[in-house]
Amino acid sequence: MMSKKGQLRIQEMTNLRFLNLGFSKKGQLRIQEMAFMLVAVILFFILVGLFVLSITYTGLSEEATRIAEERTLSSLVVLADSPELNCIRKNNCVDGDKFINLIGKHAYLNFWPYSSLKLVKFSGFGKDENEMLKCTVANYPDCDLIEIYDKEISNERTISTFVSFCRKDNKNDVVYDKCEIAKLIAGTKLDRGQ
Amino acid sequence: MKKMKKIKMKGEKAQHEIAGFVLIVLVVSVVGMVFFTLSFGKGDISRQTSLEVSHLLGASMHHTSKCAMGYIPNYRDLQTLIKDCRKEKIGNPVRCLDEKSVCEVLENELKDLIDKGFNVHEDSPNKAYKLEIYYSGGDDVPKEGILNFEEGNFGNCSSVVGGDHPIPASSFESGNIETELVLCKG
Repeated sequence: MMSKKGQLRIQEMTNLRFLNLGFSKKGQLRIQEMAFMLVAVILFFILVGLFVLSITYTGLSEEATRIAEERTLSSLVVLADSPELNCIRKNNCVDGDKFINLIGKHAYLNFWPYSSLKLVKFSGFGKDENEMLKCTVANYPDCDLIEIYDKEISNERTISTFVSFCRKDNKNDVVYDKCEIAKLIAGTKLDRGQ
Repeated sequence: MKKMKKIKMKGEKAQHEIAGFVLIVLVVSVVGMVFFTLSFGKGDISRQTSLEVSHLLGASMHHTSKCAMGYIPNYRDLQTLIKDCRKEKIGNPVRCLDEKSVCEVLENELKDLIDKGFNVHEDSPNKAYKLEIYYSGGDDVPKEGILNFEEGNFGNCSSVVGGDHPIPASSFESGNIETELVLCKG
């Protein structure tokens, strides 16, 4: 564009016809400059738009959310596999008889980095929390919800995962392992901005 | 005077051409943007891996079924039922104590676990699911189907998530029995 303008200036000085046309040519040039500028700006915004679109639609943000969720869920698996809760020779399994004995143990309030910790048994699936029968040592295992502790904080986010929940049962004088699926739910305190 | 008028008209024509050019570029860019948005937005729904689905499958493998073998309380867990169901499929029928087929018990128990675990029905966020259990002996060996069933309608899924859980086929045999579950999110 600059060289064209330069050429025009040279022509302006050498070609006498330009003396008459100088004003309109300059105007045209300015319009042209403005037009090219507009085109360049629009192209720039199109490129930026395409870049944003490609990032959004290639699922980069979704992937990041998924990885963050997986990391949180993995912390629950680590919790289920901890010696306080785990079953013998089974991964991602909570021993019901250990778990029920943690109710009311205040020492565990600050042991795990969760603001609440509970487990919903298979019998409680599909029920609202107020419909569930809370477990105590007296009514266990005929209950739905085992609540180890709840600090009852207002800004809490809960995460949950499926675990095996096994306990010893007795039938015909034979003791056997009775397992079912359950949902382990842990609450975390939300920091500001999360 | 006539010459000046001609030049003025020529200049105006050039201005119109430039304005037209800019307009065309604008229209083409807008059309392009709309096309790109639609073509990216209406792409195939890709299946995402869900740890939650895999955890449900993993946990359900230890679930004690209602199928007792030989005596009560020798109840089979679901992973043993899957292996027994495979035996049944290849012609060695295995029956529970109540004479029910192991594959039938397995299907009913798995349906119950998935339905209640993910609360699958038309009005819930999980609209439908598909479960496939097969034996995989390796890349060169064809898959050997053990059990597959689906519930609900996969027609209007906003996203599809899936997970799997492998269990070793047996100690004498290489390969795994794969359990794959795909969920349709509405």
